[in-house]
Amino acid sequence: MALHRRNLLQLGLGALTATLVRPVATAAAARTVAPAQGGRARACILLFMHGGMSQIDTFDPKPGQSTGGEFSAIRTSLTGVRISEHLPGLAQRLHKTTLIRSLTSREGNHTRSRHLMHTGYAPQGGARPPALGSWVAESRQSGDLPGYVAIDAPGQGPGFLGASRAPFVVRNAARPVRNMTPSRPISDARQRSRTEMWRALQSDFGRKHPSNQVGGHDDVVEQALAMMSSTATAAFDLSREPQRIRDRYGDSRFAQGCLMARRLVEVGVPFIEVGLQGWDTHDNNFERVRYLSGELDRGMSALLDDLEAHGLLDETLVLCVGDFGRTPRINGRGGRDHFPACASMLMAGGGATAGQVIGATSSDGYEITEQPVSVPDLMRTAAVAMGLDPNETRMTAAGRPLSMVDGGRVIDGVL
Amino acid sequence: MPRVHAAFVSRPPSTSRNRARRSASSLAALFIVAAVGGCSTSDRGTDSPTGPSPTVPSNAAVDGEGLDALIAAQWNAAGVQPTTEVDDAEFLRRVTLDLIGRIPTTEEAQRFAADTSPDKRAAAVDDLLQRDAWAEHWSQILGDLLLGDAAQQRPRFANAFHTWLEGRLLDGATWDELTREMLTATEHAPGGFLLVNGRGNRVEALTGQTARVFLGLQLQCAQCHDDPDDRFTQAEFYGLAAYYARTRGRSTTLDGVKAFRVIDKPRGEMRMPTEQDAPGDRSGPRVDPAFPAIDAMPGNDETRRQALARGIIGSDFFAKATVNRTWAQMMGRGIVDPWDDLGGLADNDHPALLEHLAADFAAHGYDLHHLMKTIALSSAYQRSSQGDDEGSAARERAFAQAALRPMSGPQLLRSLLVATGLEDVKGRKFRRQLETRRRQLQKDFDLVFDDDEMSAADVFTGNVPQALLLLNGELTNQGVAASDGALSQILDTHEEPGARIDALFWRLYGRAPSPDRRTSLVATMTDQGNTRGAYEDLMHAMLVSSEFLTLH
Repeated sequence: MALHRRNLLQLGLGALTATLVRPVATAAAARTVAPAQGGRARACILLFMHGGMSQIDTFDPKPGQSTGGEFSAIRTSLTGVRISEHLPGLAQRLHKTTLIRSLTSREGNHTRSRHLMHTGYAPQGGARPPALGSWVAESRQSGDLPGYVAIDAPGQGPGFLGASRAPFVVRNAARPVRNMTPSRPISDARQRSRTEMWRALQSDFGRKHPSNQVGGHDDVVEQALAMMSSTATAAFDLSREPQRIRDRYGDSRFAQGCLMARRLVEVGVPFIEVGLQGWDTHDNNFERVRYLSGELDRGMSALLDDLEAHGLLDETLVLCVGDFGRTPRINGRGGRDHFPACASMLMAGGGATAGQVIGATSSDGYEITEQPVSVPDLMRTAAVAMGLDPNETRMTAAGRPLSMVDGGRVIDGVL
Repeated sequence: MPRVHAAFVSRPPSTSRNRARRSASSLAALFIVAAVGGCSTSDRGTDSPTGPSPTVPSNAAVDGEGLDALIAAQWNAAGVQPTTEVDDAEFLRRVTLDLIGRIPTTEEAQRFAADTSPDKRAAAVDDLLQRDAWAEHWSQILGDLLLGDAAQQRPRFANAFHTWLEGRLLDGATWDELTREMLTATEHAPGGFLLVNGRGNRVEALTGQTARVFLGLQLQCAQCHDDPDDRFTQAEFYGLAAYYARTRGRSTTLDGVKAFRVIDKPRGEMRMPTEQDAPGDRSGPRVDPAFPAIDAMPGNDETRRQALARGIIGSDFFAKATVNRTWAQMMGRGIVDPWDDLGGLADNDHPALLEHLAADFAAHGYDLHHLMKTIALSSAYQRSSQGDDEGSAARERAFAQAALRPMSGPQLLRSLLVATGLEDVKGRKFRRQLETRRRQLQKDFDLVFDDDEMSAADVFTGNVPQALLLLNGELTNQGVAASDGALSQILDTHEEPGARIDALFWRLYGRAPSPDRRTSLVATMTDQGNTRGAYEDLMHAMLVSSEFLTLH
């Protein structure tokens, strides 16, 4: 079997460049708090609540308040902590998570906040920081599969890490991944011939255009070619999963994505994002959040149980977060608008402390009253949990150094 | 009975409306890859065409001389040496893709190569600008720009608008005419800009988009709060929005089909939100129509929209925004970059190059043909994209080296059809399927979300799914295998491997193969028995190569 060029890179040059590129500068380290414990997590699953999840109607209920909305709050497995009645599964499993009720930012625009939530940086001209998923993908071997898979979510770009670290987007976990084999089958010999001629043409073009762009294209196509001939892609095929387990997840699109995420963790993919769309509830908030809560509750509960049953929870960091929070005020259309000042999120597994609530909000939900957590705090914490050096500084294409995490502190008590 | 169109009353807008800045659809970036520093490739380039002496193009544009002096000044100021002038084959390919959205046919490429007249580049540009395909390609680019992501929410409006725009471009409408027609429209089709961007009472979105596409100004920050960079205040944002305070969509019937009209109410004022980050709130102070970049107090005999159109067309920013955006489209980056950040410079101190082109564009009556011809024949556009890795970023920034650009989705689709001959093969039936296929291609790469600020349909970063689509998808595989496609013609016409390889190179790359590559491919094809399968594989390899997939 032919060795793919990319494999060679991974075996040899990849490691070499990794050591060369890494510690450009750790001077910044002196200024920040000493690295916290962490580094147990081998993989990360990001459940992204696309559109911005209403915290008051999910994890930070305000019963009896004018801002409290229609739902009641139920007891959870953590004494004294209540969450929405529409999250009964997670209520039973809350002791396995850290619930953060004080995530705060200033970005109230979807595009900007998603950039922030994925990279830890607000978008700003030219710097192009990578998504956490791309950074994790770069730091780990993932065999023939991409290191960052985004299911039913667009993910975020790889920034200066280059296209080969871009998320591999699976549009719908319930359907076969497209274009994994030629639409007209050809023999292995012909496939090899195509690949060899393609490499020759790329080398001609690359000689005339010795830029990283062409090299980046080479890497992406080599990655695709490696996938085409790999058996690991079976992880994308949910029909291979025992029916008993499939039943536990149920057949919602989000839950199928959660199941695919677990299968991908098993075969060594280090970062998987699963999107749950529809949280942008400017109108008809309660009906929509009730439905979405059901999806989230069943999918995430099944995922936590399943990871645990497979002995993967301790080495898999699970994050559940969205664009931003939503206004305590209920607008004239029964909706809630964007509220970056405060959001709730969940963190589980991966060596993170379980069974606690971090942060608190005022009784009407407008103010954070305890331990605000910034997005860079969250990024730094996740990076440390994943064994990445948050103080690492890289050179961007523009020749400017950029810290992989934009300041912040590891969240107290999480790791 | 007419009723107030739901588009203007239904949903409260959310915080920031203005879309991420994206221009035309782009199948982007199979290889728009953030350049990674420190990856040395200097051992590759031995025959760098980076020449020591800047060559002045032999066929300067109509107003090219002053322009080329300014471009040379830009090179000097950046301290870079320009690359050599682009060769004929690459020039024709680049300009054909930029102006009509596809690669040249074999015949076009060979005719251009054989042409010995000194002004053949200018003649080629003139020819391309006169084709229907120019209006088709640029109405797509401009339509996508004008409607932004919102087009997906209102596909019927968007289609009518695109058709109208294409027709007006075919008529030779100038940009000031088009702008006035769009802003003061009362009818369904030209009203698309207002109806789509302003849907759901999204006056903020419409305001942001107006400033962006016509003036090159980013206002999205000022919508919710005074811009921390001091560009615009929230009051100024709502001052611009006030020009739309009386604009409404009304349902009507057009040829028996439900449609909309745009009307102006006799009264109505704009009010600001009372608190920051409270979109939809209109309980704050009243704001009168006014905006710093335009000078247009509504008179008694005109509607606010008419005043707005007058003010925008009279603004300094109007020509600059169009020039800068067109330049960015054809060069890969704006003279001011990003192109819609004309307000980002202190005292609006814009580069002389932009000032010059804007003045020239205005002096020629905002004629888009003239503008594109001027850019295409400029010394900047005619740089080679080939150069040492070292310094290439600086040269590209100074327009001293052409940037590698990935084809957009529409460019790729049309080029695949030209290359494979699928268009000829399938005839009319296939043509009819084309639009469906174009959408399918977009969908293949696209994730659609149901929130109100989803990503543009066709903007995606280069990624493995795209590579898989090209490697394994139907268009490329069907394209090489079609029994009466381009490859069949080539194999029927030529028998010798060399001649067959030559023909494939002209068809896909618009040039002859290099002697070395030709020799080695002849050996490969001969080895494989000169069979059809061998050529299918070569053609497939070429279709997924960087040379095919980029503008270079």
